Amino acid sequence: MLIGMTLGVAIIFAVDIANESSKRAFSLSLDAVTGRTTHQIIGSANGIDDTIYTRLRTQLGVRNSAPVIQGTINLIGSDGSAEKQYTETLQLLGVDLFAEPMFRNQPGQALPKDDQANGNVSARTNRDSLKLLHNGTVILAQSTAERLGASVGSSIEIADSRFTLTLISTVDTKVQANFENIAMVDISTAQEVLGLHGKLSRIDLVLPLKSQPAPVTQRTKKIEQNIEYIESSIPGVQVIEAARRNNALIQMTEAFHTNLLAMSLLALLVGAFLIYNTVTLSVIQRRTVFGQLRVVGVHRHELFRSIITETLAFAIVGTLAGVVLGYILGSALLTLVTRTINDLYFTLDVRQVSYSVFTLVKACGVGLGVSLLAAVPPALEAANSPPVTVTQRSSMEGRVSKIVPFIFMAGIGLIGSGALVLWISERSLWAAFLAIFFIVAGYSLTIPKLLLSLTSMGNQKTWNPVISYSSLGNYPLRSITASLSRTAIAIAALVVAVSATAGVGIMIGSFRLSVVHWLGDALQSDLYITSTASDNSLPAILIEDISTLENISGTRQVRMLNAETDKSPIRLMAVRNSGTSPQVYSFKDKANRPATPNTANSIQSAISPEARMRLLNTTDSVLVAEPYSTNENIRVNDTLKINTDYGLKPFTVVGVFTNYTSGKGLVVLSMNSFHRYWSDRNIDTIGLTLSQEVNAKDTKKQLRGLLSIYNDKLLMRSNTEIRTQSLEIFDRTFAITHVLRLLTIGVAFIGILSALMALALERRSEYAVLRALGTTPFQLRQLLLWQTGLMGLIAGVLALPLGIAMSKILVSVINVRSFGWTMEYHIPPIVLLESLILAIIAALIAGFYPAYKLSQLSPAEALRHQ
Amino acid sequence: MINHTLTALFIVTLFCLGLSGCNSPPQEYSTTGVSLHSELGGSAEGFERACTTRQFSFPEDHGAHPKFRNEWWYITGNLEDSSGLRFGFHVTFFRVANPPEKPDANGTSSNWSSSEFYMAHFAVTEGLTEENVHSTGFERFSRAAAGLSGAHVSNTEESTVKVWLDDWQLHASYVDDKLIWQLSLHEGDYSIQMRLTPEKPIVLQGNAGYSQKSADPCNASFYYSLPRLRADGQIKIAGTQHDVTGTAWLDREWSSSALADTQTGWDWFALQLNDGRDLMLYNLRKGDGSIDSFSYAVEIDQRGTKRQIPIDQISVEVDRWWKSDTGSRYPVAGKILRKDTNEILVFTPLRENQELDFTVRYWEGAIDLASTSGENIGRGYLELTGY
Repeated sequence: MLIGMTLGVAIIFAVDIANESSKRAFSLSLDAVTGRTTHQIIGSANGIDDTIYTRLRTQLGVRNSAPVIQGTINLIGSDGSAEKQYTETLQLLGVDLFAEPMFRNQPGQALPKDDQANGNVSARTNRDSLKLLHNGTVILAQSTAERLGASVGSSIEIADSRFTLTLISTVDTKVQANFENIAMVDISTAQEVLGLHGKLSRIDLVLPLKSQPAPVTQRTKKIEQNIEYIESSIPGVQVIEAARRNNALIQMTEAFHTNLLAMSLLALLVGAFLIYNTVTLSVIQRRTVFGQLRVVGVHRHELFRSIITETLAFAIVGTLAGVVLGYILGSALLTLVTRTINDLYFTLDVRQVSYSVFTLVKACGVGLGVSLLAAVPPALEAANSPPVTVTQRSSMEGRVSKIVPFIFMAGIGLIGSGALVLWISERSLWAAFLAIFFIVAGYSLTIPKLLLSLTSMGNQKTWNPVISYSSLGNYPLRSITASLSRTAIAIAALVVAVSATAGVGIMIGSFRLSVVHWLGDALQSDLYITSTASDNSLPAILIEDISTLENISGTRQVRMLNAETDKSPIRLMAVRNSGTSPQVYSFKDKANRPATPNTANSIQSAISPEARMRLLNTTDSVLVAEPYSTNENIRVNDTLKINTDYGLKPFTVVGVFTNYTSGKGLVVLSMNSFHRYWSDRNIDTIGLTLSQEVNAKDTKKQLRGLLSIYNDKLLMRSNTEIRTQSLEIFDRTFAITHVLRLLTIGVAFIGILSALMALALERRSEYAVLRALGTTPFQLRQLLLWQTGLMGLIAGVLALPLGIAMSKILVSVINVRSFGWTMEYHIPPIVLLESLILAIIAALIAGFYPAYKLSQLSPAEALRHQ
Repeated sequence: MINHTLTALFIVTLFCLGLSGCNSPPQEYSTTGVSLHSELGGSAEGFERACTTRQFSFPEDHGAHPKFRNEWWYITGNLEDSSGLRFGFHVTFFRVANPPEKPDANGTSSNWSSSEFYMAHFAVTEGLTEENVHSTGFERFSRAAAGLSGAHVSNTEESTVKVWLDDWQLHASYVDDKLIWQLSLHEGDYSIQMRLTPEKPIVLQGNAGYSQKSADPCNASFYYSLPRLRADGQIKIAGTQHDVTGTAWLDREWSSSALADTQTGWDWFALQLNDGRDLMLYNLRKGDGSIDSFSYAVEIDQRGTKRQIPIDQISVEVDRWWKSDTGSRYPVAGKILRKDTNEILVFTPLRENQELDFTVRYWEGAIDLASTSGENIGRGYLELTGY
């Protein structure tokens, strides 16, 4: 009983912990980066000119401003052997300490309320902070420094860079948690390390001035005046609300966390099943004892109370143990979650496991609540029944079979409302999850009824092929329905677990297939050359050299930059194809509004890809990746305003294409348009299509020679390599779902085990009679295993429709709503078979122990009480 | 006059208050507290030091002297509006250089990298208003890079001399061969826009501008003053603007090394007498409370001729101490006794609370001067540090 409860609570708590810790780390990370900033000045894709900051300060007198350079660096740990390098990815935050005090928490500075707590001036730290002004110095979190094997004064290499940083101070993350993921450097250091000379990522602002407390409306007006003042004084500058940018980031991970939350809901459901089952079991298996107690004069209230008290005591212990186990499990899960977030969205390093009181209360509440809920009906029943009937199990089963139709109707009703919710809600992710929850819960309510009809289907004929091998005929089958109250719950738990496995499996399968297809489309070039230099640009000479190479039938030059738009920020991809340029986009068209004849480059939705590409190359137009299109509701013929080097410029969307890269929305435009509106002339990737007839090896060799003079600053990869790598990341991303699926199965397994144990215990006398009649222990074992195998099979079969329904919702509703990805729907038969086998095996394994126990049964002993 | 100690003090405390970890748990940093003098001791290394007299040249010397560690432009003044309402103001730009960096392995090319930074103080005192209104001060920091702060002299630009930190500025331009100074500072509801016209020539303090502070000849600074500037302009206090006129004092000093071990602080007087004479006195206080013999006093007559007053001929007698909320006690009122002229100057503060609770805490305030009979004989500024 304890094990079941512990596991149930543990799984709920674990998933919540993983979810919450990563979320907290994310928001801390965001806080470290933006702090108290209310507004930001941003520029075009290349960042903004740093002289804007000087003008802001010296001419406009905008004091509450701080320059920021932000980027990602990989630091190499100096500890350990040379061949086994430890690198850690961190957010490089370039700041001007003199401008900082009102923005971010300073290194080593606790929350403001502690400001007065400790006036103890430490010279060493003070002088250390001053050193940040020296070029090439860095402040890290103490924990980060330890992992890198760095101490104050030691230098740390930056991967793929000629720069080294000197650690001058560390920050205790206990004092300042949001420093965890940050490498803080001076602006000058950041400019050099990231190759951003004369540039800032942005300027943070706190508007209005702190010294002007005023009513809200007045303040808003003041803010507007401030923005107007800045924007009108420095042309080309755009002031935006910091919250807007952060929201975009938060939204990106929000979808992922919602997915995890769905997992935790599932865990909740399965965990609740488990707890319910174990508690009912513990009460029911002692019906005889309770009957006897009643016979000897124990009052029914006393009996009821003692059952409940006992359950509660167990529940408390079980729940506490569950919380502890959940914490351990959760920490392990966290690593997986973090990895997924890193792969998908944002450099994040979560080392601290955290949980809120709410999760704790939730896990405990479920543990205690469900336990009590589960204990009340059997306790009531045991207490209220006449002592004689209490000892008879049949009386209970009789009542259970009466309510089966009602439960079934309730289940159908729940499924119906789930479908309704799905249908009514348009974009809400929450509604979709609620619908899934309804459908799953509803489906599990229909299981007793389905179980009955399934087992009685065509009488024994249908089952003949299965049970003809059983030495005891259809006894195993009938006994499943005979103790429906027990078996139905176990089967339901297994059904939910297996269907979730199947559903998620089908979803991942479909997803993977779509990604494979998409990679095939997108990676048309044979070889890709990218730069690993800090500014990501390829040397111009190299581009010329390559263009003179023979054996190359086509090139594709790409420049990737971040850009702000009138909507959320984008990743801008400027592309130039020459020679044979294969079609790399598969378009998905949905137009918000029909083409208007007076718009020169408006297009009909049925236009050919070639025509789109022509439009892209000749007009101010862009292609938009599907997720961005979905999230921002921007479709073909709509206009997207992008912040160019010459201010905000409108671009017409001429196509929406499939794309499974995540993070910022991807927008493609032609190199011609890019050069028209941006002064950046760099190229960061070249894709090469080799002529059919040449030997690819020779060409590669030739290229490698060409690249060797650039000191490993350039990377050449074949399209196969990229494909493999992408799929690796894909698989890694979904690793957590596999783990969660297994966990769910594990919990369901315990559920089956406990149900079988209950059955076995209850039926001791029944089996004893069988034994007395001459059934061998071996046959009895066989009987039990048949029974569990059948339960597994039934659960497996029942799980498939639910699994398929779930996968359909996941693929066509949840994924679209959370990521904006549409994908091909594909049911891999192997997943269905796997689920079936998984169900049977789980059930069989669960059957072994009870079967063994039963075969040890001494008939005489068991029958003595009859 | 303001001395090395102040600079040293603020270097030490600067990165505590404004910029770093005062709040770090003490157990983590077991290093003993900073000694002012050891902090300064090694730091002069790599800088030029003031060890003997030099040739001054203007306007070039109004600009920065980056080979020296510390430098300041220090302006104090007493103002009055047409209704007789009194004000004091105090504006300082400090230049602080970090010890020169070791050659950087990475090679610096960012125009944000700088081993120098500026600190500026701006304070105003309002005279005869309610008791609870005291002087208000602001403090700023900035790196001397990316055009954010600096000091330079140029004959090509609009202003010949430009000292600035953000939008706080001190300019000087030639008008008919005469360098006219212009102060322009804003901070929230406070601002000062002041034209400062010199009424006397530049006074080189100490020995032709070489001002020795202790027995070590290199414990010294280069020091000159513009002892009497006519001030007119606007001052805004808590949102209310006043048209004002008055007199101001400009001090310029640069050096690289510190006080002697025994010196703990100083009292500095810059006094403008109604008869046209100006008086400057600084007493370097030793740990035992006595006055160091390297203290200094000077009288500048109506035409700007300087006459040094032997330090044993002038003394200060404290009449009243004022205790601030921060716990420091300052001698804010008393008498300056001159043996050479048998004069007694009774000084009282415009208001007692003119303490500036900046990174370095000190008392800097407007004072009134009276004769022993109570007749007003002038105004001035008093600076009290190390209390």
